[in-house]
Amino acid sequence: MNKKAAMSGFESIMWVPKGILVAAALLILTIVFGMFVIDTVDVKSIHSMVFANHLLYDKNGVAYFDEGIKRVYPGIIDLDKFSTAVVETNIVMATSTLLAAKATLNSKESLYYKERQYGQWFPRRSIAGQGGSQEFLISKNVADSLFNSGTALFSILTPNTAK
Amino acid sequence: MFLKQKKGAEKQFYMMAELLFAAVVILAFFFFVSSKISDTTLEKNYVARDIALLMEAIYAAPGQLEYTYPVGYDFSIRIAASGITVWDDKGNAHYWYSHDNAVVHEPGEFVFAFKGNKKEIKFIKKNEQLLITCSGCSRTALK
Repeated sequence: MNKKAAMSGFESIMWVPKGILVAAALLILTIVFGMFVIDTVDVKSIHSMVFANHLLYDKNGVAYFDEGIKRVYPGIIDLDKFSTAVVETNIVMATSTLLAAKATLNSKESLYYKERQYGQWFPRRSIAGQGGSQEFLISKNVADSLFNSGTALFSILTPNTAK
Repeated sequence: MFLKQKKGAEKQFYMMAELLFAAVVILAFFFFVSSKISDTTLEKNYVARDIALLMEAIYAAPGQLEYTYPVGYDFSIRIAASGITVWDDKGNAHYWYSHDNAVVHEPGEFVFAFKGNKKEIKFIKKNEQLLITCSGCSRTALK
């Protein structure tokens, strides 16, 4: 092989690292740019609050409803309806990957919404990253249907994978 | 002399090729950035979440209710018991809400396709029935 041909071959080989370098630069630029692009809105906190209100104020949730005068009493909890079975029958969410909840009335009675998911996500509630979940605690002053005042504490869990 | 000229031409060729390669890479990046700028994923996600949270708030509201929601975009919106799907020609976004089993959706599952100036969805909740209508849109019932 003469010197000129060897030189040309060397130049051609030198294109490989150049190409790799440019491709790496393009990839890094794309990743850095992608990190600054916002394409979703985090509504986990708001959704937790709305969901707690849904359980509490919906007449088919736990709110006390007077059949005689067809009136809902917001903030008054019907103890007969304060159960997992009633809430899970009346309030339906098509997915099991978005949220799960536990409501406790006066630190005594409890109800669960998507109990299995709650049990899975609760121990991971302070873990960051894909495997963890986030807990939102919402406290509401309420009274039960016997007019004993107290507090309803909602613990709402959302997995970090939910967007 | 002839050999020197040939070597110079070869160097020029490699330099031009390198410049062309760099230009292609820069153009590719600009196209990527441009596609991200004109992307409507954020808007679709926003509308899907906004309507889903609104639906849940409507279910939570005790008694009767009438609410008009202004839609600011030319999107198609599917309102179903399983959630809200918003889409346009560039893709779609979905979000869930919890619905009250006892409240009946009227007219069931449907798609609103919005186009024009006045784009609104009207929600009327009355006696265990949620009536959803729209203006500035065409409506297609799915079931």
